[in-house]
Amino acid sequence: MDNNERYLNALLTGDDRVIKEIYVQLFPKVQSYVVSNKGTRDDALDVFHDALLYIIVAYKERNISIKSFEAYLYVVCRNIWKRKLKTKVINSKLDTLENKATDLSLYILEQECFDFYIEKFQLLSSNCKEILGNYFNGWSYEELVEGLNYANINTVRQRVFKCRTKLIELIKSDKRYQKLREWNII
Amino acid sequence: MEHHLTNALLETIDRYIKGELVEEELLAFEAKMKENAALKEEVLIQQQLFNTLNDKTTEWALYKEDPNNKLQQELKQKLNTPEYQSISEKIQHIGQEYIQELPPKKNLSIRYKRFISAAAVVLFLIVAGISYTIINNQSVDRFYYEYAQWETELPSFVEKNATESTFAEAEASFRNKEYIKAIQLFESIEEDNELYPYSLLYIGASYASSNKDLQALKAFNQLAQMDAFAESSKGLWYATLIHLKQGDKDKAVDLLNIIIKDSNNYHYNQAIQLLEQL
Repeated sequence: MDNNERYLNALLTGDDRVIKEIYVQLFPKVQSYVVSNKGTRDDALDVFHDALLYIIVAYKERNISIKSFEAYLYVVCRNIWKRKLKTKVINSKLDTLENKATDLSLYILEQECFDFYIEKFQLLSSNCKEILGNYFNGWSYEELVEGLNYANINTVRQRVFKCRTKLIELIKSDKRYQKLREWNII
Repeated sequence: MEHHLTNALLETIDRYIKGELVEEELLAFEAKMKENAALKEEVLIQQQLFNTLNDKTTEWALYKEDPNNKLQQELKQKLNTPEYQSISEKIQHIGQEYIQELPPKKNLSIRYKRFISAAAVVLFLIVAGISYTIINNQSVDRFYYEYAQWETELPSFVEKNATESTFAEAEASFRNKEYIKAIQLFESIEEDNELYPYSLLYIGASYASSNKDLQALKAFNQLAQMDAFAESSKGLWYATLIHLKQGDKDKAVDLLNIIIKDSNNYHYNQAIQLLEQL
């Protein structure tokens, strides 16, 4: 059994020894991320707890599939921390799940939405992924011309538009998109 | 009401999201959104794409508590069941146990704590001209956080060699986050000084802490080329970390492949391990 399965099973069955191993193996980098982004070690512990719980709930109640436990846990921790920074709901002191239920339930929907968009994005051609990845990271057309060796701004602008239209089409043609709409966000 | 999704419209949506519309434009656009649900939907999609695909966004939250959102309310109820309550307590308990069993920190590490937080600021900075892709970028930065444990990495010379006063002053500036001053002082250390290679190390770290990744890379690369210096391969390793932090997986892999050619290289085993993970 590889670590992906082992870690997931441990969470589902409540295996203390292996859950401790998850902390030993994966907590340090999450701590490093949180501490580097305005947080403390206690904040990181809180985030890590929420992320592990998220994985259990999302697996049981929302049927998510996880390809790489480590990479997914890290992304989830990163998103939870971003959400906490935004909403200012930071419980450094250990809080009961009762007080967290609202936030976590919202987060579960948010991560599902996040996973959906990433999945659709991954379906694009590698050229589109490169250009849009940079575009959504704030690169200007000028920077795209220079950084990705395009002939001129007009070419880049057309390319960005084509890729975005393709992405929007992929998103809208998926049945799950209608679900997301029902959750009232879209 | 229907709308046609033109490039011009998408660009206006972008400017709206980035807060770049001026007052009149903003009012007009918001009025349009109000009466045109389809347009509002397009804006939300783009907003979410920016949130999802932008690695620099440090804060975001989409959803708010909504009594009408059935799914959210269901999840909330589930989370409040004894089953999940006890799982939550168990995880918290294991986390506490894990923290208590950690070995006490060394003095040195406390000193460099400030540096780590500053070093992280760098991380999301994208230097124009360095091409990387979002696929790589989705989470390779996690390896940076795993390996860039600067507090144990950078050697301190203050106690070891009190006579090297320029170096000591530079090191103190670095710790006080006075990076410009630190860089100036470290740069004044002559090439024939035995601490010169270490000053390159600090120069790289200082640049990294002041969001100047390109200069940081330059310093680490220079260190990597100092064949006469026993620890020159540290330069390769740190340059790898900066590439990872930037999400530039390809460049990181190139450097790692060089590191694993010689088992004497700094962090040889870690490099092998990291390559497997990448």
